[in-house]
Amino acid sequence: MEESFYYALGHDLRRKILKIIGKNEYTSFTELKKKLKVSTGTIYHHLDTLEKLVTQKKNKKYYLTDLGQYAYDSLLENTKSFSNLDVNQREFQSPFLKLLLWLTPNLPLEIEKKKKIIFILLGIGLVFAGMILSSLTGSFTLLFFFIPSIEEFEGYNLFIGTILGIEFIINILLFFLLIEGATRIIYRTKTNLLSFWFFYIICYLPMIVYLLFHYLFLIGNLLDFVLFDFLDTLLLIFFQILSIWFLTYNISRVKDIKIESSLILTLILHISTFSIILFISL
Amino acid sequence: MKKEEFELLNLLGFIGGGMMLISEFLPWFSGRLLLQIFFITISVAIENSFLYLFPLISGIITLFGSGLLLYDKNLKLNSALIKIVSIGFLMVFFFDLISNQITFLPALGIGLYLCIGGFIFSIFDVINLLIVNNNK
Repeated sequence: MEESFYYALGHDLRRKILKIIGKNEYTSFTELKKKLKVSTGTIYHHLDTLEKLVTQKKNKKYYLTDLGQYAYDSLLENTKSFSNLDVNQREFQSPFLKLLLWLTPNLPLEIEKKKKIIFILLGIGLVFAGMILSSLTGSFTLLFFFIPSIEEFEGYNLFIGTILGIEFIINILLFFLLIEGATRIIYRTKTNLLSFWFFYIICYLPMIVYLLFHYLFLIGNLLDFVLFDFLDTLLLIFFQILSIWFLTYNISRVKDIKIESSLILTLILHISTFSIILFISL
Repeated sequence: MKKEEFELLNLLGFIGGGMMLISEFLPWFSGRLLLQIFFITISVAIENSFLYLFPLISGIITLFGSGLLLYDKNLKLNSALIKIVSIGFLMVFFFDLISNQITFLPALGIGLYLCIGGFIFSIFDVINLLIVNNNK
């Protein structure tokens, strides 16, 4: 039985026959001929080979036997594994992606496996750090963009600072729900919300580091110098790209979708928020 | 969706990209070509002048993205990604243009309409590509 099982799966046409029958529960010879586009003799030959996996009932239709059903299930499972393998290999083939993966922290993955409490504390810590820093620098946050003009308001005080800090948290929550909703609707993926939440929070790590630099430049009055102003812009661009990459990679990893699909999602979000900022500044 | 329908809709990318590209060489405001406006601005404010090349750049990127599909049909997602980048360029251009050139709006030329048409075609093309793609 084992021999006929592996022999049956050893040919592309036989795998196709199993998939066609498995997908539709049963099929007719005409349907097989139409889909496979090979000669009648070839189909009969392969159906003979599949005698332990496929059976013909009185209505002349072909059905899967128990062994055939098992073969079909294992084919589906393997196809999924192969496609995942393909994604991983492609990721490591490109030198640019190699560099990005080198920059991507594996910390959340490691901690998630071992101690969830550290993971939760890290997430809360990052949210609070971002909240305090955006409040101190007077930055209005929109995804990975910061609008720093608010610091120049004459009435800037602790109250406005607190509002900006709360706005940072609302921004994080809003985009989290947007991404979660979009992946559920478009890619039909359902994952553990808590797990995705902490992978999502990690994406803000580069931006929080940027806010720290920006705050240091601000308190040192260094932004009046052209060189530091230029450096601040460069840091913003660098950390923004890193954040977008983290978001793309984490969506792809947690939601188990292609890296291109998650890049489309993050790019649409990025362009939309940039357009909103431009629209506001009109 | 049938194969023929998909290929017909794929033309949207080529038409959209072509329209954006051609619009660069057509009058936009007060009878001036966008390329002329670019050359005028480059002598005044070089940092803003490259904005006027964005429809040309977007057109080239969109055509490249559509061409990628002719090379290999499995590159649908990559093609959509490239086109999203091109749409991003054009959106920045439109927002900046509206704020800078608002005074010229009564004397609009065919170029602007053609570019907006190309932009809409390009968006439909991306949506089509993303809907047709059923693989995760």
